[in-house]
Amino acid sequence: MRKAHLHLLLAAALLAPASARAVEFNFGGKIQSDVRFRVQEKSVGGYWNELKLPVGVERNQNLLRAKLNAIAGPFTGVAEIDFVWHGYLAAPEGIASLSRYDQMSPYYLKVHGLYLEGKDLLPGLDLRIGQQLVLWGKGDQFNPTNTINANDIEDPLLFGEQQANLMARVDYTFRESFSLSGVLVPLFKPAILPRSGSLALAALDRLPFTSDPLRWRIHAEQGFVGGGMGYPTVVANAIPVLPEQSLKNMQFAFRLAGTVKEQDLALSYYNGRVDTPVPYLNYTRMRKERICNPADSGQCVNGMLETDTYLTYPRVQVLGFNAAGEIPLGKLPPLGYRFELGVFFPQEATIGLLNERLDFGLVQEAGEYDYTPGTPGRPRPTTVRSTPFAKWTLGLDYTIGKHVYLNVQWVHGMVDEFGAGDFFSEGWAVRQGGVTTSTVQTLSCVGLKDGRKCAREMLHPRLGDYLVLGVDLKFREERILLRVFTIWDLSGYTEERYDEAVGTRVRTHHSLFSSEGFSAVIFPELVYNFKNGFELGGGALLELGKDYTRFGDPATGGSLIWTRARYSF
Amino acid sequence: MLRRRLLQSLLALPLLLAPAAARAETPGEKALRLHDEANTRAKDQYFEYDVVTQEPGKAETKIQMKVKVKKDKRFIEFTAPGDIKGMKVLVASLTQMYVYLPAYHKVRRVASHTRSQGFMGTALSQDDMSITTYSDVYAPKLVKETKSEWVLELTRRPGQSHPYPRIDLAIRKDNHHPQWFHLYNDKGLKLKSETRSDYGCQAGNICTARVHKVTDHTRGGMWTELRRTGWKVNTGAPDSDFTPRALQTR
Repeated sequence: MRKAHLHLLLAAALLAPASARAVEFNFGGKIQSDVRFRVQEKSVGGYWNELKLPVGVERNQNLLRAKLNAIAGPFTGVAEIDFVWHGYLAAPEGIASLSRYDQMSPYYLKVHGLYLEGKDLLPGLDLRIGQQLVLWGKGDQFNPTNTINANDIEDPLLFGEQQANLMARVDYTFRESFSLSGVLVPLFKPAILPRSGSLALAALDRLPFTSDPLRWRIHAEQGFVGGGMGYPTVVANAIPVLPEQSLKNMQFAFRLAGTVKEQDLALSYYNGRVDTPVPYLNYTRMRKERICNPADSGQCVNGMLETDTYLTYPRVQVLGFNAAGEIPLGKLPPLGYRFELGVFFPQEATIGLLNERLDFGLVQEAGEYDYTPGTPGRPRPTTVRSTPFAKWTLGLDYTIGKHVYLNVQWVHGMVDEFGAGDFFSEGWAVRQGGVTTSTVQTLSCVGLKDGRKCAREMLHPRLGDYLVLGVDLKFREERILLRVFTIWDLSGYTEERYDEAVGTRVRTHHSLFSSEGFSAVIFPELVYNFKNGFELGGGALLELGKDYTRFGDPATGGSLIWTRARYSF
Repeated sequence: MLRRRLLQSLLALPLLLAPAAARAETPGEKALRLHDEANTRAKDQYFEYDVVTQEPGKAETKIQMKVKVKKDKRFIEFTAPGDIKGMKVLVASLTQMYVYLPAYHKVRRVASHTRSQGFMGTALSQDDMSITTYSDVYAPKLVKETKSEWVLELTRRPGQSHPYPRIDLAIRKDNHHPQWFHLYNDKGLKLKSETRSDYGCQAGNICTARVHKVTDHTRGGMWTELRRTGWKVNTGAPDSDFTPRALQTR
């Protein structure tokens, strides 16, 4: 019976008059030019491996977006592609670079969508195949349940953007307001990281291990070898290792969504991988080369312990819940709300630390680190526990009069935060580490294989809490938009060190309201819309806080001011 | 047996009362009912509009959009200018509105509180775009009747959130569609006026105005005209064209 039905549909499609099968084309796009300036220098590392983001032009990005829809009956083909050309380039690598357009005028293509879609192939059944985005999260920009596509955080001004990926998506709509969706993602795509993300590689004190004693011990060893012996540790290479392309590595997701009593509700399940990498293997070798501080020739190191870090993408399952609707406020217009919850079930991730023979006076033979003294090589330390954890966004918004829009959100867990560590289950991310002791005392910690009395750490919960406050002011019939969005790191920072007086390690919490604990983003922008497709805009992205904080981190790229011109057609 | 008779009597009671209720329809209620019926008579309708706005002392601006209507549901797609091209709005009910923002590739629910804001910089508000039938939201009173029209004063019913507590409405007797509206605030101040003109009809008695002109008296007489450039009736649009899913397809 079903087959007959299908045959009838096919026959109807073939016999349809030419006019019904005529293809309708829609074309649009935009031309956009961005110029950005970094207003604050950011640097990390010592003089032997310093990475610096200088003040000046951060980027000149020129973009042509083309979007084409071709519609023929129930079928649609969609292409949405950016051609991006950079007017600002890095120094040529050699004379040969001067003959290469791709190096002297760097450009790339970015696909937002390139897919085919069939609508109502069976009653209520849609199918979409190709490069596409599946964004199920209802939150504003902070979407813990948008796990199907990988994040694209290359451009900090486009926070929340995701990359299209090859997928097959089926949606079945029933009872008008309910839908059941299934998505199959054959190939894994990792997140695109910020250009300034490479600075994070110099922050070797941000040890990823969940074990406190192991971290303290390695802080002491790094402190002694780097300070006392003159062999600081650096990352020479960070090598992402993508999962092999196989059936077992395909990702998939399901969602049931509907409207109940005017509240939009959805339950989802995702089985795949986290898109930001975690280290799983460090291989360290010694490079003997005396390097002196250009600013002080009496200050030198004898060489470096160069580490190749291999990165992986652990498996994860995510149960998602989304709700959006309105909360009545009596005689006033109701308050809008959005709630998005992701409960993550991560695969445990461990790391192996291997080294060549290291000889800096004291000899460390080639082999694997003895994570637990007395049982060399085993067990490998954990970087992500398998403990389930939750990330969520609770957002409220309201409009006052014709000109003012307010948005407030509580974000628990930023886009790149992963692993248990909040008020449900303790777990810390090390934002800064080192030793507080003299070389001799540090040597003692190294000898005892116990860094408890030497190590100092600045800690932040693995899953932070953030307050997002935003306001839109619109004037002159929506020609002028003044938007100010801010993000405040509510978690603060906890400093932990050994206290000789009390004979134990102690913690000091620095709240948002202290200079040590303050970290925030302030993002003002002013846009003028000429009402004919032209827009001019400008603003700033101010990333505030000390270098170890979430937003003051040099790897975020530092504070920017920017201008933008755009014509949409 | 007695019990069955009692039950039959009780079942019959609403039928006996029904004619009494029908007789109770006031002339104003009848006129508004005819208006609502005329507005929802088509199985579905498809329109294309140029939306021209004139602010005092400034050049005209133009938006183009396609609108599909089925009963009390509307699906709007903007086609120009480029910065809003591809944006789609679904009015599923007076309290359920969704917008598809092509720049974000995302459907977002629009909370009621935003609806008093301007609609794309025009003299219309999102609320003005969301209402199709009035009887559920407003209690009508006939204040004047001429050969060609009924003039009603509509008072917002308790519990309803439409932004205008009072609307004066003139309904044409020939096609039961509006001739003009005056929209007031709770202090009795006239906020907006709307006229509808140049009516045309298809499929017998399915009629719409070719031009809607809305004037905002609180913004120095700024006006917006919806100029119909295309119109089809009973296209066979399925219900699925009026769901959030439809915002993301096509």
